[in-house]
Amino acid sequence: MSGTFQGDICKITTNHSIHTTTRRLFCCATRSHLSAAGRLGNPPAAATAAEMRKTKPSSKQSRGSQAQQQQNGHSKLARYFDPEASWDKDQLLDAVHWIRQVLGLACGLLWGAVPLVGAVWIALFLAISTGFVYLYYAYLLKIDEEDFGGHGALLQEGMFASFTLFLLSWTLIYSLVHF
Amino acid sequence: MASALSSLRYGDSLSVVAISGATAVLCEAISWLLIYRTATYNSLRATIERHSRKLDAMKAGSSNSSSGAGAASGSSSQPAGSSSSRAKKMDRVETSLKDASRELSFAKLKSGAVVAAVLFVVFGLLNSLFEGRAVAKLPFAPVPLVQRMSHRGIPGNDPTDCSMVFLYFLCSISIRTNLQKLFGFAPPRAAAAAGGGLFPMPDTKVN
Repeated sequence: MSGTFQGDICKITTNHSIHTTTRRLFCCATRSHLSAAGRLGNPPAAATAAEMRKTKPSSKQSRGSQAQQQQNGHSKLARYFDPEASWDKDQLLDAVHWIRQVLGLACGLLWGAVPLVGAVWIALFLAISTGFVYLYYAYLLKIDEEDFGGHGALLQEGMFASFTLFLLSWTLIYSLVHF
Repeated sequence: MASALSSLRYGDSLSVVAISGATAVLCEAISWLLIYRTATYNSLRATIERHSRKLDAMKAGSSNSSSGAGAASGSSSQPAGSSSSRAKKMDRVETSLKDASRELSFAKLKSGAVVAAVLFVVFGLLNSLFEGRAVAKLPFAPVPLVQRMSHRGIPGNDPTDCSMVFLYFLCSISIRTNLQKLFGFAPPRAAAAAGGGLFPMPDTKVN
């Protein structure tokens, strides 16, 4: 697990799950704020003293840190669609898991609202979910699946949880809206 | 709010979901209190991840070297002994991984027992509240095997009537799994892949 800080952009390579990545982004954003204080004309010694004394940042610095955090948030989201981004196995499997959960919830809400009735729509959901995940890692990210455990590992990640979430949301919306 | 719920024919389903969600949060809190925050669990988890990364690197290295050896078959610069020593190293790492996974499973026993007791009590409570009535309507007719759970205790023959048991099952699986994933409490994938568990099968490679 490593995190390097290069200027304003934090490059994070980590083997932990998304919540750890989020924590490290926050730490990097904090470090970038302190580094920005140095680049705004304060001498290094004063910047170090500012770090140690933890003085309240000026409004310009807080706006800069907010912009930095927004940029980090956007870059984090953009990373999931960037074929040039480097992926760790756990990171990719986590991304696939959450994509499946979102798909399961969305399909369940939609199927229940229309409503779509019948077991055949379960097959449609499974096809959509599997196809979407396959298109994501094969065509959007363009990764070599052998480096990440093969098609099986990628396609089955998060499948059962997303299937139960789909059934739950489908059943709930169908029962509450149409009866 | 109570009047709004009572106006819905299947408003009980929301109660089941709410209780399941609260139970999932409670179980994860108990697990965090008893096991996830302990140094033993964190060190075991770090060990498993370290061994898993090492094993993946070794497997990647051995596949690269085998493809390289196949391409340059004329030169015998790589002695056969190095491949056997690499295989032995991989076996050692795999054994360490399995041992760590087994210890992790054992370490989670204590919280597992408490969580099981909580789930048992909650299930009994839900059963007493919603026994004998349909809490939701399924938008599909389940297969007979699933109907045993989905139609449990409900009078009549409508296969789309959903009992509390099935809804509780769906809630438990979906909510708990995603909660664990969200909070980072999900077991390491390497532990599941190692297939150690508490009672592992004997390793056929070890003589």
